[in-house]
Amino acid sequence: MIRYLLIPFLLCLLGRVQAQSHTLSGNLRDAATGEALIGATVFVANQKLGAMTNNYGFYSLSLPDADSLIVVYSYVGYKAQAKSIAFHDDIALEISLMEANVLDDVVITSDRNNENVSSNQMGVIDIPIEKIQQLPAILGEPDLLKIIQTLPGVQPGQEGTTGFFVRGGNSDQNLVQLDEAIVYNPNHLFGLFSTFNTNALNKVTLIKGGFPAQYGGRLSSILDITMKEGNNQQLKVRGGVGLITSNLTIEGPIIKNRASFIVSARRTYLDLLLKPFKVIPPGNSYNFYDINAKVNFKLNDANRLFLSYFRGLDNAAYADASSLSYGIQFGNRTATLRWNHLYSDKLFSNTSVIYNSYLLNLSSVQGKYYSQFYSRINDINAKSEYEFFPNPKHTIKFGGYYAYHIFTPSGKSAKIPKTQVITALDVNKIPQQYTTEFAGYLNDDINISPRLGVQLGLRIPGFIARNAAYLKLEPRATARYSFNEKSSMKASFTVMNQFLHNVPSSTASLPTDIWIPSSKVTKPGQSEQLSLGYFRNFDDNKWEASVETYYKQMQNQVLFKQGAQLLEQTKIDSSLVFGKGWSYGVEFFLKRNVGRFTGWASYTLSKTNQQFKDLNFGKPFPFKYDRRHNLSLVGVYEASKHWRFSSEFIFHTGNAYTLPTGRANFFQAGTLYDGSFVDYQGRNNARLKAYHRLDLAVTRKGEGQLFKRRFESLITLSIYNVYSRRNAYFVYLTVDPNTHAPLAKQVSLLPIIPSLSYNFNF
Amino acid sequence: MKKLQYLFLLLSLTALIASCTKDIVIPPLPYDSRPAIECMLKPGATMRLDLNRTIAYFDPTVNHADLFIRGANVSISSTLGTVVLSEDSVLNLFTCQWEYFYTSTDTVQQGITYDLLIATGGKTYTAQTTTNSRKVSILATDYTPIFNDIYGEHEGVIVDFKDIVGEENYYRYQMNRTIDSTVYIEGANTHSTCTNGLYFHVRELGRAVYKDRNQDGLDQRIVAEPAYKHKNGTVAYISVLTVDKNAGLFYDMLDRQKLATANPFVEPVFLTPLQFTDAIGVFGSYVASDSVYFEYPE
Repeated sequence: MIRYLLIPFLLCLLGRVQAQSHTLSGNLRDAATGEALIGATVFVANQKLGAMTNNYGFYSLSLPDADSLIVVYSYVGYKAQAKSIAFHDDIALEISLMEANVLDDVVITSDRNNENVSSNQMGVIDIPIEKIQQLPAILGEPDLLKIIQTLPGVQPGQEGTTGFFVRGGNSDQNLVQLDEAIVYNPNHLFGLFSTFNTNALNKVTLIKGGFPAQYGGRLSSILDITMKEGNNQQLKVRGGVGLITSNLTIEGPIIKNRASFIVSARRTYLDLLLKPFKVIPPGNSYNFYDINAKVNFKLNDANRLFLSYFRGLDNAAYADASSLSYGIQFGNRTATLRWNHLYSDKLFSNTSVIYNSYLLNLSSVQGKYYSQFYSRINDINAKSEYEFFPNPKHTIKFGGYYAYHIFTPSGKSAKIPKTQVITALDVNKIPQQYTTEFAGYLNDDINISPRLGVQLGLRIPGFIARNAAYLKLEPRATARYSFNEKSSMKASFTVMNQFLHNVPSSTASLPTDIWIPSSKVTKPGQSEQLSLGYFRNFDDNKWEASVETYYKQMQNQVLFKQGAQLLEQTKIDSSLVFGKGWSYGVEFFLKRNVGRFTGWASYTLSKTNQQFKDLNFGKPFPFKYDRRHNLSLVGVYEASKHWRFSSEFIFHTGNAYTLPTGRANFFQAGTLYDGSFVDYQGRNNARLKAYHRLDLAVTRKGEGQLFKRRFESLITLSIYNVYSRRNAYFVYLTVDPNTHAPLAKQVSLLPIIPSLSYNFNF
Repeated sequence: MKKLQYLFLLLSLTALIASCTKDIVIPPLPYDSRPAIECMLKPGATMRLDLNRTIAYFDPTVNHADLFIRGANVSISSTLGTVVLSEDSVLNLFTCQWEYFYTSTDTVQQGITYDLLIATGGKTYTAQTTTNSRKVSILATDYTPIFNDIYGEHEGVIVDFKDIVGEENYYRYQMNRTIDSTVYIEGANTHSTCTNGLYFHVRELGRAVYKDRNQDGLDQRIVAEPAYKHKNGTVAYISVLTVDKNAGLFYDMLDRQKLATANPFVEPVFLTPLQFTDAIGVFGSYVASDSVYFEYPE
């Protein structure tokens, strides 16, 4: 292992002893807003060398002396810019790119814009923010996580929810971070919407395999979300009125070109709007809100500060006399202070101090039983990350991470007392659990030749709880072989560990997620993933295609014990069982990036199983979200300057669930019982019917003048589930009151839902 | 515009709220029926063995006569010889349904190891039990109108007794009483329709199995929820059953399954064949404590 780790350093040294070289560095920004362009390409055409901007729009290229460099700066959706530079000294260049007009159908991008083929990374998908805003949405709310669900290798959760499951991993195995702060539950309204307001977002990247060493802490995926910095050129107001929410975003310069801010807020007004109609029965209420805010300040060319804040909260109460009632409060809060520092034009650093918290307080009643779950997490994190660009062939990243977690988990479930009075959990008496998590990492991205590249990394995470301590090694490796500029083959191997667990219940249909830390009993989850992919671009990189296969195994998976009933319990891990899981599949992805018609098609063929010694007679069983087929077709068509059409079609195999296969009678069991018992022969042995639906949207764009400023408006008509398919949400069993014969009932949730929304921007 | 928005809002919300529930037919999953065996030997009592077939979950059969496995060869052997059990039936005066079982007139002896052999459908099923459970003495009984435990809030008959020292023990609650057709079971709301006002005997078994883990030799307390309705002055006789380990584990598994089935927040409990291969059930033994007179205060 050490031998392999030394290779990048030797290559790095080689880079330093070659002929005299200088560094071209700087930032790429949007010309109109000053926003950093993340993942943009800088390509030196006459030397066939290039680099990408990092999460802050920074790039650095060390090149040999040259009389002239032809540098092409490009970014998807922007007009590329070419510059001729005399290169006899270090040069720092701030470049601003102009957005392109998609109706031209020829968005100029350099022929080098083939990162999916040429980068030494795989399993990575960037999600264009504008696509999220253009696609059909339930009740007109554009949603980031709904788009994530349409990507290859990603399975959606239950219908209408934003939960996502990557390559056979549970939803808690996805690290969702907003400006580096962990968001434990990225949902509103039981997952009908995500907690992210797209107006405040700059960049979203999903990594599902081939993880670089700077990422860790979860087994299955990283969803890295970067908030906008705020327009540093002029004051901008953007807003929207939907059926259930309204949102407003204000951004602008504090000091032009040096400091800017953005504040974006969204709130439901369902409760307020429906009051006069008396549609909502007494005892029922619902509202959520979220706020994103960020300021950034460029101190000088070498230092920049960012302060971002996010708060999202849901409050709901629902009372159905027949079966289900609940009261819930859940939400996240994050605050991130970051300092970008350039030690030199080759060494970039980012240091962050982050606070985040999560709260779930849920009381629910189903039939004659009730449950209460309380889960609070408070984290204080610190991170220091460094990016070193010794030469164009290397990008070395290294750094450290520290987190102090405070967990407050508890739950109970029992039959409702005859008095109908349920004693609430006393949250002040729940013992807190203090844990420490840390990690150090080193990652080197090396282009050995134009055809061959590797990314090698090592992450060493550790975890300390009251009665246990763990230190792990996570080697990461990705290799690329390019057949030409249009196609390449890649392979990766990664090891990941996870010290925090969210125990899912297979039965309750409510979000009963309780986060617990690893302990002596609950060992850290671990995954090993091997993937292989073929990447091919067509038609001048306008079309991207890929086929990726993967095999992933996961150790120390947790589920609740059979029959485990929480009785005001704080030591949750005594109710758990531990096992393993494995998943394999093949993912096809075809994406059109530019032009009037854009979109993608993705198809995943996969299988995921789990095996627990104490469940299912010790035999393997399908994961709840094991779906053999998963197809998504997503398209946006810009018909004219004023009209846009978009659609989405989803098809996937139904969820697995546990269905009793037999009945057995035993008459000497308790007299209170009816003598009839259930003979289960397999966990998750049945399937809901296949899920499919079509969504459509049409948008009318308008332009005008308001207060002598350009005013844009968008009216969008969305239709969710156009042909109103009654997809199964869940199935429950009951008994015919007359014949006593068993019956199955299917509950469907979302029929056709039309919606109208109005957005403006000036 | 505003009217249109309200119209859309109402349409959408109506659609959203109107979740749909419908009966569905689930294609039958492959299911191999197997015997469900229940035989608890009690020293001094005759042998009785319930032998029914399990059926596919959505099979509409509910009648006991259709579930009973007829024509099986059932024998119980010991050092005292082999007893062949024969088919018999009795009318359950509470459910007013015939119950079918295998029985013999031979009585079970204390301290003997018995081997069960069932031959049916070309297969044989065997198990063993030893009638060496020891009975406990009830120290006191009482009644509470409200008690909270894993089953939720319920009324309870309190039984105090002392655990047997030096053994791993499993206990169950039993109450014998007579009822008439006005008496029903809470929740089930069924009562006898065939006794025409006459009193008849019922045996009430507690659903829980109590294990003396970490309480060896200590005072034990059972608080059992009565099954049959009662009133002030209702007379009953309470016993504590000491059951063997196989029976303890089996009835505990049944109890946990019922709890899990009823509670949507609990993972389902699978029935595992503890003693038999390819059959579910129990072949166990128990002994009852001397019964104690009890009178309900309400």
